[in-house]
Amino acid sequence: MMQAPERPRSSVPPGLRPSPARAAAAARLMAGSGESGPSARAHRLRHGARAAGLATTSGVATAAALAEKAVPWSRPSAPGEREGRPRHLRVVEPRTLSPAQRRRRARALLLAGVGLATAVAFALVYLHVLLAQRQFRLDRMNSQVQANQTNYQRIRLNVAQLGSPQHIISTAVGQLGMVQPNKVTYLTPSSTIPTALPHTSSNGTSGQAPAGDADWPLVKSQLAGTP
Amino acid sequence: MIRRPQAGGREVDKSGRRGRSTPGRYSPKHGLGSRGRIRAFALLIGVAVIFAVICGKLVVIQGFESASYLAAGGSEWEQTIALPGERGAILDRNGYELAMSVPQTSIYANPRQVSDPRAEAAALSPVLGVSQAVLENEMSQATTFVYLARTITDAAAKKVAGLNLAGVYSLSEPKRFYPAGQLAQPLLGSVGMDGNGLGALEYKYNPILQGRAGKETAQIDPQGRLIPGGVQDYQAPVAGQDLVLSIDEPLQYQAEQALAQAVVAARAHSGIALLMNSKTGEILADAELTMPAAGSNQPPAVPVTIPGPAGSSGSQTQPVQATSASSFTNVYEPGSVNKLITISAALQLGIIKPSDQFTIPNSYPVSDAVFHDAESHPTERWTVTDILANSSNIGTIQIAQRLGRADLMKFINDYQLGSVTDIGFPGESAGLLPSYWSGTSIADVPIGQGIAVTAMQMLAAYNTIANGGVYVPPRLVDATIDGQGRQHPVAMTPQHRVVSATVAKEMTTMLDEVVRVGTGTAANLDPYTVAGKTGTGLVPGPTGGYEAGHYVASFAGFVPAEDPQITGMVVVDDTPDYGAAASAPTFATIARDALEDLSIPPMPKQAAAPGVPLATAASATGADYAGAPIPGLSTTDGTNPATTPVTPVTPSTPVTTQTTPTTTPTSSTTLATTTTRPTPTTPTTLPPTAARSSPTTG
Repeated sequence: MMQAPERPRSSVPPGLRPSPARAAAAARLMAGSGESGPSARAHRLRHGARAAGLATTSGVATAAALAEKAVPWSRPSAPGEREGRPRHLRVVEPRTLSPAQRRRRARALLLAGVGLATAVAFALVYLHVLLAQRQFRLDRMNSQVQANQTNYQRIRLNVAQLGSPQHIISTAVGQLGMVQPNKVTYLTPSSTIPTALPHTSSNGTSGQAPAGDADWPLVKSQLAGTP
Repeated sequence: MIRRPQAGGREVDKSGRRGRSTPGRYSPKHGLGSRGRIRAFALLIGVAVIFAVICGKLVVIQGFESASYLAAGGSEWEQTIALPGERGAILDRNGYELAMSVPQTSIYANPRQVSDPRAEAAALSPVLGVSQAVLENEMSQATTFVYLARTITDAAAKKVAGLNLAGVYSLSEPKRFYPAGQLAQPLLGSVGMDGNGLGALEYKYNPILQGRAGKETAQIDPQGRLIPGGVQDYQAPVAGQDLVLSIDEPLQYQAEQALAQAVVAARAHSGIALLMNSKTGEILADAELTMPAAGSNQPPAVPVTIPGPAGSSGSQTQPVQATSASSFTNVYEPGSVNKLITISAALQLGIIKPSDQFTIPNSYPVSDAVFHDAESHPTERWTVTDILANSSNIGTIQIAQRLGRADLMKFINDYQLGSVTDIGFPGESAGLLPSYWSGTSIADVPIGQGIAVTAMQMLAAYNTIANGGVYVPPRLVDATIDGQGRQHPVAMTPQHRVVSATVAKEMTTMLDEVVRVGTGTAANLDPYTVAGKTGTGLVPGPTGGYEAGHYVASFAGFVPAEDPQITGMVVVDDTPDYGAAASAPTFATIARDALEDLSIPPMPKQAAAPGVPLATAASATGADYAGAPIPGLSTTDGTNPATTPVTPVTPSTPVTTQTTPTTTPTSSTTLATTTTRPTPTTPTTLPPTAARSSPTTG
């Protein structure tokens, strides 16, 4: 009976490795088959993996890959090499939860989900209510704006109608009893008045009249009247 | 296990569970039998097929045919509201509204929602002022929208809302208002119910005024309210631009008032009164009135008071607004105002000088026609100034014969007669120039017969002299105001020189003499100096030739002559009076109002242009035969045309009169004076072979 070769150190990532129990079962199967050689070992590994419950495609593939990769490692490694390289990778037992823990976790997740959904639903309802309120407010404001604009236009029309010449004339003649003059008298500036009078300031000094006031002396003399 | 019978033959055990009705078909212990499996499989297949069909239909509805279903359903919950762009206002030069749009309420119905058309029509009829039968018919139609009344008053809209009728709704629509009533209506035009300009400026500038409509597509609930956040599409409306006219509202009113007075007093058919800014060509007033047709109920344009003879009663026929802007669209034979073109052309070409003397006989043969002046006179030696002051046809014809056809027509074209103005008014006429040149054309065209012009063209011709010989195109629109309130001035069109400044000055002096001692003394506005010319054209008859006793009386001029600011023209159409009697005093009235409103003071008198002789009183007989101004129209007799009554004409057809007392207490004293309207001298010699060679008078 051949002694099972020393199991090589695996370079397969921990997540892809079979559990130690399964690996041991696979090794036992391989040892009991009497086959030798890399292909026989691979076959045994595959078979053992299947027997150990690695029925998933990935599991089989992982076991097969492990078996295939185990071939180069079948040779004994040099003592120096084995001792000089630290083993920084190891197979970790997956954390398993008891059914009760799983149920509690599921219940907590369910409750959290329901709570979250309820909160989201209430938030959405609140947002829609808020939106509806704002929309009604906006509608009211739009209506007010439109009404005010219309009112402004009507007032503007009213002002224009009241300020029209026809209305002014009819009011002046019909209500106020005003009459248009029978004769227009024009006041003609006397030719003796010089066109540019010297301007005298309050302190008696002659100076230039301010802008816009240049014609005032001429006009004032006419407004004062002639006896 | 206690079993109790159940309807249908099945048994129910104590716990309520059904027992096997048929042993062997279902066994929880052993599962389905072969037949059961087949049936279950068949059921599964059936359900799968049905589910597949449903899914397929769902894909068709939601995918391939989604657009059509959306469109069909969209009409139920989507509403597209048209947002009309507010039509721009039309303003006068000072910003006063001549036309503006204000939203009003329109009433419409959805007949499919109207349960009782007859009852609802009966309720609406008195409120809307529409007959019950019409409303009932409208609300019985197989449609979802019918107008019941558009742009009703606010009070009526409130009453309709109070009725709370099923299927009757309201919406807001703009309505066009003219705050100054009918003022300048022929110029402004009108707007249809759909907001489109139908005539005049409203039509011409419709693209600018109208703006651009917007729309809002939103989801609505069954009550028609907007669903929050349901706005699908929003396109903001763009307000139309305002139009700023050169028209001055008060001047327009005063012009219409004075023109109405003239039309009534002169027993005319219609009239035109124009005022223009001499420097810029801006039209300040454009009054166009006509007497109403028989049976017309059109309200008077500007109520004027023309009392009739004592004891008469009844309402007075008042002029109404013309149906179109006749200053642009109507042509007439201008008569003697056209002499300005003839004489200025001859002066410009150096053919004559103002001091040249002409021998003016009483009659003057040209080709196969004999021409006369308006009044018989012995053979005179008149200068060009005298010819113009007396409005001598014979003198003008002699000048035109020296000028020649080609040069005369050249200057007629240079003064833009025969061309539409740059305003491009809708329906504007270019006038009528002689289509052929007969032997008498060299005589009748220079004196304003055989040629037809618009009042606007002749106004612009006189303004050319007022503006120192430079033709200034008339303009009616000063600027536009966009939606942001920015004002965009309308660019002035190019000007061109027609005659030299020297000739313009000489013409101004001669036109001064027309008003000082000639035919236009009724236009005198002392202390202002008025330069102008009267014209009396003959009215063509319907069967050819001219109608005796029917004239187009006109006056064109500018003031102050020293530095012209206002150019005006008055045309009184189809009147038995001469231009001096009917139009000159009206010109004086509107010119005086313009001078006051625009605060234009009288200017120091200037000397006559060098080389221009003044008309002598002895030679200037125009004022004698042109006819005194119609009483009541004069501004120089100490009375105000707007308030002074006019004594009716005797014994010819009296003006329709009324006894409404005037508002002027002093007018009663004026009434006591009875005057007789001078009967103009009808040209007695109308050449029978050449109707267009009829003489005209100033």
